[in-house]
Amino acid sequence: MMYLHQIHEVPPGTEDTFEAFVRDEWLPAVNANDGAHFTWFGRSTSSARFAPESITIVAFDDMTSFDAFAAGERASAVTQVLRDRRLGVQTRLLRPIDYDPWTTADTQIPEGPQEGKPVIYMHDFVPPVTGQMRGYVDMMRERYMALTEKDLSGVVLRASWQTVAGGGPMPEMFNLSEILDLDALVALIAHEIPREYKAMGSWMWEALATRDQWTTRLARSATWSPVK
Amino acid sequence: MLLIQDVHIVIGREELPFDDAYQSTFAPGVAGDPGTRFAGFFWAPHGGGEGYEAVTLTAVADVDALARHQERLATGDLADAWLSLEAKQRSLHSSLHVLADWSPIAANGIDGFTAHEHPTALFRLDSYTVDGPVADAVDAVEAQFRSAPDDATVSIIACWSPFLGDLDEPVVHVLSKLASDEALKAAFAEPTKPWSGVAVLPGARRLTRLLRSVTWSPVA
Repeated sequence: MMYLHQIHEVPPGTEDTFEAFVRDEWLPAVNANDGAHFTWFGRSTSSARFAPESITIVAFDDMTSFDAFAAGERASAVTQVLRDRRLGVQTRLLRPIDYDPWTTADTQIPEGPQEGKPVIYMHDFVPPVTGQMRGYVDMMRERYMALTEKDLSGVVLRASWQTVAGGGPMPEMFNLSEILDLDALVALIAHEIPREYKAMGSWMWEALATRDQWTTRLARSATWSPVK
Repeated sequence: MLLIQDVHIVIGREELPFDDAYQSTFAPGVAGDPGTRFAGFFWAPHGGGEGYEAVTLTAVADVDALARHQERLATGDLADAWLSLEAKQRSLHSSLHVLADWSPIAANGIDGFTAHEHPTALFRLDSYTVDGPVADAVDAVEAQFRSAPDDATVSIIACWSPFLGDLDEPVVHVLSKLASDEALKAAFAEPTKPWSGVAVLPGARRLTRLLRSVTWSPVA
């Protein structure tokens, strides 16, 4: 599986119409291509760093379906409308990392909009320290994935993918983490992490050898997003 | 009153030494000149934006005080401390602003900024790139500040704009304080709704930083 991840910057005040366009026109156009699956639509929350913007994820069964999608949509009429409705776009091509929880859970992608409650996520792009991508992946697999939900303050990793050749900043990891517990989120954001958690020898200290920069978006899925 | 806004990307393992150096050395040193006061230290919390990003504010009485401050950092009594802080960062972007005189944090003038211990608090710093004149946007924020409801999720405590006005990037900054943890939780519980009390500038592009003050920050 390969994923097309795009962040669409839209003109202020057009967020709702952009979302409706994606749901009503772009999603059907994507899914009309064999092996292409419109997967997720997210928007920035009120407190998100970047606004207004929308995030879309499209999954492809294989490179043949990716190629056919590109051939069919790179100059299509609906693509022109999509382009006209936004100010800019960041595009990434992503593949799952070996421990990816999304893959492990065999996440199914419904073939159309699915109504439900939105889910809040921490949406992270994380470039590793130069030369440390392999160490970062090892750390995530062996240390982070071994942490309990309690250790992680109610923030649970749902997807862990990385950019691939031709697909954006490299090396870079994309992590999508679901907020299960609003109290835990409030505690994480509003209160300091105790100093002893950051002391030399702690897991946080060790992890900083592989990465110490990231960009987090507090995003939420749309009420109609196929995968919430 | 002028305001220097510094946005720091700190080396992860230097987080605590950076914070400690500001508290113990740099911030007290700034007050060695009657025209400058260290005004605020905030971290972007984990989960809220860039990793290890800090925002610091320095209040400056006027351009003469600014000149003295620049000299102190370059070759004066603050130069060593500043150099040590630079070594703990990956990048720093410093910008000069005019603090709107109606801002609550400006109420007691430059001597109103004093370090004292208090619990951490959560803020949001909204940076609006506006279409029209900067002065009009500042006026609009003031009008919203003066008519804000008492029970809003956030309350505006400061507004600053570029010292060079429309000659510079037309970005108006609004600092708002979260009412409480309960207000924050309630806001997250309704993720499709905007937070009440946040300044609204139609047509402006917004970049938001969630910020948490440190326990010794003058603005808290």
